[in-house]
Amino acid sequence: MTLVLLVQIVWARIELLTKRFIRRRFLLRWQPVLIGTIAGDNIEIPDLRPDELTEFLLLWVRLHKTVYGNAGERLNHMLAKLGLEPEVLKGIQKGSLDTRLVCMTVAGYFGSREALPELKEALKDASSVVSITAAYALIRIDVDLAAKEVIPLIIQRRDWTVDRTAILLQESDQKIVDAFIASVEQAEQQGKPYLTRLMRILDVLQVSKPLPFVRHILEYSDNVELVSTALKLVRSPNDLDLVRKRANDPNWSIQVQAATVLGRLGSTEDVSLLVSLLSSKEWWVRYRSAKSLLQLPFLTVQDVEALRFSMDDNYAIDILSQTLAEQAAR
Amino acid sequence: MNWFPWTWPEISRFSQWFFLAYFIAINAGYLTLNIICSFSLRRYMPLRVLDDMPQIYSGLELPVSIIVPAYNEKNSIVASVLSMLHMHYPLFEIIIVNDGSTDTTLDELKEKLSLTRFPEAYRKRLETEEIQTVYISERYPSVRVIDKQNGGKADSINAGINAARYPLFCVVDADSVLQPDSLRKIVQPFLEDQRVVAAGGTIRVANGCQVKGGFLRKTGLPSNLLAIMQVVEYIRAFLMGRLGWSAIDGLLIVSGAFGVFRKETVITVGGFRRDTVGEDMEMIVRIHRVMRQKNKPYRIVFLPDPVAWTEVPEDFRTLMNQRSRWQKGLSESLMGNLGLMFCRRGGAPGWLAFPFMLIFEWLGPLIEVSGYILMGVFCWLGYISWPVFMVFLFATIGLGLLVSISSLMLEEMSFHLYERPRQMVWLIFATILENLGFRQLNSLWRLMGLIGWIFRRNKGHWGKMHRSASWHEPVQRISKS
Repeated sequence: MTLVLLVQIVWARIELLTKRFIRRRFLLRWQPVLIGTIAGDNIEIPDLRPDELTEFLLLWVRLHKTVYGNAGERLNHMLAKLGLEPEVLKGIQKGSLDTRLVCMTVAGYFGSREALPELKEALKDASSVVSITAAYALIRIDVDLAAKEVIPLIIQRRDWTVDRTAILLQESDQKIVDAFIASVEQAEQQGKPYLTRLMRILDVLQVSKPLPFVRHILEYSDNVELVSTALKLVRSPNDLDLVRKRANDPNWSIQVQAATVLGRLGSTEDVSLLVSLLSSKEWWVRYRSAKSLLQLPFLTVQDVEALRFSMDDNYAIDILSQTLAEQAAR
Repeated sequence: MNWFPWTWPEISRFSQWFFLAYFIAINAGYLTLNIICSFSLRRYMPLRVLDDMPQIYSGLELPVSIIVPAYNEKNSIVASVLSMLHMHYPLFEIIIVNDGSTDTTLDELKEKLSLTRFPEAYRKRLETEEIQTVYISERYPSVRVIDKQNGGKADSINAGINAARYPLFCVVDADSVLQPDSLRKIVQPFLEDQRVVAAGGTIRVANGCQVKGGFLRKTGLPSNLLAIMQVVEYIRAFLMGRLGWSAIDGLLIVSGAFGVFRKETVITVGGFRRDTVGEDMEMIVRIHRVMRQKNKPYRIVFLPDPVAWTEVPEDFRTLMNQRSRWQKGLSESLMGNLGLMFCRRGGAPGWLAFPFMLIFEWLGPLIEVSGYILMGVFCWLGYISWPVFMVFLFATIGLGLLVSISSLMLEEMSFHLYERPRQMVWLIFATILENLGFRQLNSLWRLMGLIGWIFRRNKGHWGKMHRSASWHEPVQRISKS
């Protein structure tokens, strides 16, 4: 058995060396062609050998991820000229897992409408990696269809991690983001348990307009996680009255978020509130309050230093000293 | 000898069956793990196809505090920290804990990182030795250095946890070099599953590799045969052992050289135990025990490709001390958490991994060494025949070889980090050689560790290891990027 394994190791090594040889040969031939294509040079496109297909698609995707504007269209034109769309479709339908992932990504960048049925099918795949890769492709090909198909999945599929889902929406058209905001509003009205997760995603989408449901949550909810997340979404000084109330919440994690918002949007009347939080028994409340004081546009570093000298609470003095030193280090 | 109920032939007959069964069972266990691993890797590897593409960050990635406990690490600390600073991850801080080093570790850090005193509002959530000074790097503001009185590695990690700002912390040995994408990969399970409380990555042998400015430039094999045999050992331990246990949720160790933990969980279970030399394993076993006793959902995972490179001993004495210390650590981890074994909600850790560790890893050295000695003596005295002795040797050496070769096969079907065919030949050669003396010697060292643990329950300390750090090219003062 040991001998059989040894033979297998040797065989695997031969396969690996062959793959590396193909890759080297491919890069030698194709890298200049692809880079020339991106640059808009009129380059003759060589034939693609069947054993070079995967390498080609991988390099094509890699380049697509790094280029903007016309360069992407030129890469698409090249793919069309090589007649690779059927190969890509075949890869999505019948390929191994890695081939499927690559081909779905290619289809997305290429804008292949032919791939839509396969991508819709792949959205239902039990594997989160497969389904979210299909979603990425879909949002690039058909915005309306993606809004209809992908948004419900963002809500349903808890296996889609918040960071990947956020990137998906960050790369999406505004139409999809609007559809997502609408679904968050609906979830709030219906008091859905997954609302916090959706709001965390919303937080990184840089939505500038005020979100009415945030006010509603701050006013009425007693769910710590939900209120903390809602505080992150406060965009307007008009909501500061609710934020101030939450700054005195018995739960320290809510206080932390409230102090952070006050640093972002607060006015002169919030200074005393933040100063009072510097004496909190929770380190994080003290730390965020001190950071927020330094963040307020109408307070200078000298003002905060003067504040530190005027205080007699050791907790407050220590945390202000630390944050001032941090500020100086940056 | 009338009082003794058995005759020598009877004892020898019982012994031969006992040792044969033991060696077959241990190797069968490892081979089973190997099979589980090959399935895991088959599932895992295709998912990496888009991994080396340019990455986009959402802003929702969990920030990480990297804790680097250091004791007399003047040769490698700066290079290690520089490699960490260049990791591809959106938000992290580095906390170096100088545990009262008696060499120039702190001076090196002061000079190369331009340290200045920092008025840290230090929170003492875990008990530690006294903190003397906290520094911040003027050059790299995300780097802080805690200078404290000597208290051991666990004490240093606890001090680092107290100073950590972020919800996850990553413990990295001061002599380790990380891959730029290691942190991104090892944090991923925490994003995918809220239940994940700890994740471990693979440790590889840095001897023979080329490291410049804290970056691994070229993978290579060491020229020292003892170190090459440890390359095989590390492949077997990480790619087969840990991945196999992780696949069935029975992982009992996350290496102290590179592991990520959820801070609040570690604080809840009381932080790292300061009176043990195996603080990494003890922490994981304790998390299993406490979480299961409290019936809290949790997961501890291992990822095969977030890699940290570390230096291994190249001389017998240092290696002997290391292995002896590891065995003491194993003893403390298991004996301190016996409540996990066969407990009501024990699951895979309590019903499979813990008993396996106890029988084959903890008692293993005792059984193995006595097996070799007794079988040799019985054969010499004529109580067992040569063919039987040969069967015994086949079961020990032959099956051991099979296990080692099969883990090399796993490496070949997955990461094949050693690219040159000549390197693979050396690894195969080392695998054979390893089973013809090195493993037996290792068992002897571990037995010494076990005996040492029984008679001297010494407090947790830093393992003395002679480090040449020859694979690091000297680090010059690097300008702020």
